[in-house]
Amino acid sequence: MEKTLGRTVTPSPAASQTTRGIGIAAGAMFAVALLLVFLVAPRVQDEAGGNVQRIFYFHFSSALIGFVAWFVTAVAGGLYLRRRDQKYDRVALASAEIGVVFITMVLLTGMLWARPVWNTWWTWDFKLTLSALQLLMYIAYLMLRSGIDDPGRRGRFAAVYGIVGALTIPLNFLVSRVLNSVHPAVIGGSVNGAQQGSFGITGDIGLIMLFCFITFTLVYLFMLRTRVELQEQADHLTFRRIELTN
Amino acid sequence: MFSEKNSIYLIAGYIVFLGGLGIYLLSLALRRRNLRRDEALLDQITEQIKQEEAENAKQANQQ
Repeated sequence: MEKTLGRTVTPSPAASQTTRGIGIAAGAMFAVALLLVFLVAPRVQDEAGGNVQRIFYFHFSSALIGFVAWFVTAVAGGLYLRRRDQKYDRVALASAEIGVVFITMVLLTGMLWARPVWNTWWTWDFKLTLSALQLLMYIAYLMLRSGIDDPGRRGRFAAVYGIVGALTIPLNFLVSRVLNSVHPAVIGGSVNGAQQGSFGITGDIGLIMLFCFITFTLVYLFMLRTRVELQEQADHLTFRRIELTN
Repeated sequence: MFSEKNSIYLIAGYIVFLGGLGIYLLSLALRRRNLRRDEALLDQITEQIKQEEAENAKQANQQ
């Protein structure tokens, strides 16, 4: 029997208050991040897009958080397989959904940066193609879940899928550093000689990047907690409906 | 900053960020509202069933 499927799951006032606090902090930091990006961040050279490069701060943070989200899906899936507790399955679902939101934004904003810098919206480069495939893979993960009614079976299938899917995350990080890719490898060493639009991380750029990343981490935490709470309520209502019909 | 010819891409990029996050947060809020409605409906149905059961029990006692 799956644990915590039908128990009363109204979030405690303390948990809801924590979620609200994270949301308020995330909102305030988001506003500050926007100001930093538009008013403080230096303009880079035209080869990297000039002012358009300011997209990078949120693009980079969204990409990292998207991958963190899918990694969390894999870890929660692993915990679900081990303990068969629905709370891990809820975390896996919530995190996968949020990952899809962030990586969709990454692909769209990447295209908006690429148009003036690479002179094209899209190119079938290793990195870009892999990112698009990953997005489709996680959309398929959500579709797979919605196609299985039995919670136990759904949780097991999704957990295995999530773990296998997460193997592509380090691949995405490596691909623009090891292979010839037009996508710049802004952080860390790279032997990629084909990248176009790269720029150096100077003091201000690095600090603003870090601030944006912390901001997006808080946004992710807020969304994750909210989505998990919603799923708990939805599962509880499903359980009540089944009880009523029996 | 916004007078450069490529600024439209920068503006569009941040519209995507704000719009994307905004739409997802709105979807969470709508799902929460729908769940509350469902919960209220379930409470109502449960209450009705309890009342009917109580009435049936009463009638059975009277007979």
